[in-house]
Amino acid sequence: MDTVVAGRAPAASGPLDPRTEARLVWRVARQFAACLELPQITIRARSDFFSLGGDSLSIADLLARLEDELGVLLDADAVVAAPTPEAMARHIHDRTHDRTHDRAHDRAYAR
Amino acid sequence: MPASDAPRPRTRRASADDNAGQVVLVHGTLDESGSFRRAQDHLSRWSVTTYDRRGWGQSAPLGPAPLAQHAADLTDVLGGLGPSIVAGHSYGATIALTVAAARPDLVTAVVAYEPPLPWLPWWPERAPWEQIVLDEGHAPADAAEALLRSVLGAEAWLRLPERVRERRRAEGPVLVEEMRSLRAGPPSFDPEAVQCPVVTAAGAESLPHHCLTARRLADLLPKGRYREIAGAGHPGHVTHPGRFADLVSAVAEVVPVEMR
Repeated sequence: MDTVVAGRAPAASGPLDPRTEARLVWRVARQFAACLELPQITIRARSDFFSLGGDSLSIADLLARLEDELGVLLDADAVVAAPTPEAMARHIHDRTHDRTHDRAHDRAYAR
Repeated sequence: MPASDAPRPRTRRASADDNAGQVVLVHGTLDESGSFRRAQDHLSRWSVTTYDRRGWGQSAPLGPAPLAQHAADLTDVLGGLGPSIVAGHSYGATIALTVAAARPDLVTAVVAYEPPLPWLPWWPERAPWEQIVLDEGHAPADAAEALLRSVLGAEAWLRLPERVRERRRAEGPVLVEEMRSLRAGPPSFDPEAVQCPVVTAAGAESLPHHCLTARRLADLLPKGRYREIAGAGHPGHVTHPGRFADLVSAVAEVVPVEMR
């Protein structure tokens, strides 16, 4: 799977359909639990990664896990700005959308 | 034949069709299989099996039991029937989904009415009924009464015959065990791993987190759809039995022909 580096603030990129949002929130929530070694039941859609005990080391772990699972590499600044599963799902969607848009743009200009 | 220490399933067969599909109904907490009686009247084209789970009704002497034991019991029931649609109410819906994920050979489809799934990220940190049962320091019998007063209303609770009130209070330890079991350990299944069709449902008058969790669960499930029953609350299988039975028909429509 390709990796996208998401180093800038989330950009609005169209609606996030409910199924995609639910799946991204669930997957991010699972990775919160895994990297913080917390029971899944302690992670809510709006749980703050840092309030749960996250720090600079665990951010790196979270980013690696999300990259492995979703193929999207968020940087630490983005996590600090959007430290909940719900907000990160939106950010991942935006980055994926941007990647798709950029590829379409590249293809158009390669002709 | 189930072992003597296992719940005893009861099957009502469709009268006109020896090849009628199988439906298994799994009840919730503070409930027993008899509460599906009216819903069964609307499921006459199916061969319908119910049983009292450990701790409830005729299986009261067998309980309390953790969620894994309830899943094993449902698996045993299904083993005696073959592939079936499983319709669960509340805690019974969580059991149905748990077994559907583990045994796709036995579960062709699921109806999940307001499954309590505290490990999903949309469930509140402490749901109102969890606060009553687990946080307020009640003895188990008092917790059962407090919960039913909250769900039914104080007047409706007092209108129940005294023997029923005493029985419900005596079920307090089972209630506490089931609510704790839902919150213990890792998730009992991965929603994205449930491959069969699932209709999740809630009553439009139910607590908001029940509706939200059922809706988001449908979004997570690969073949999930969400239905809401207008005018119904948590005991929708009792108050709206025809609409509850319609959920079975709705999910049956999307079961692949070779699985029916």
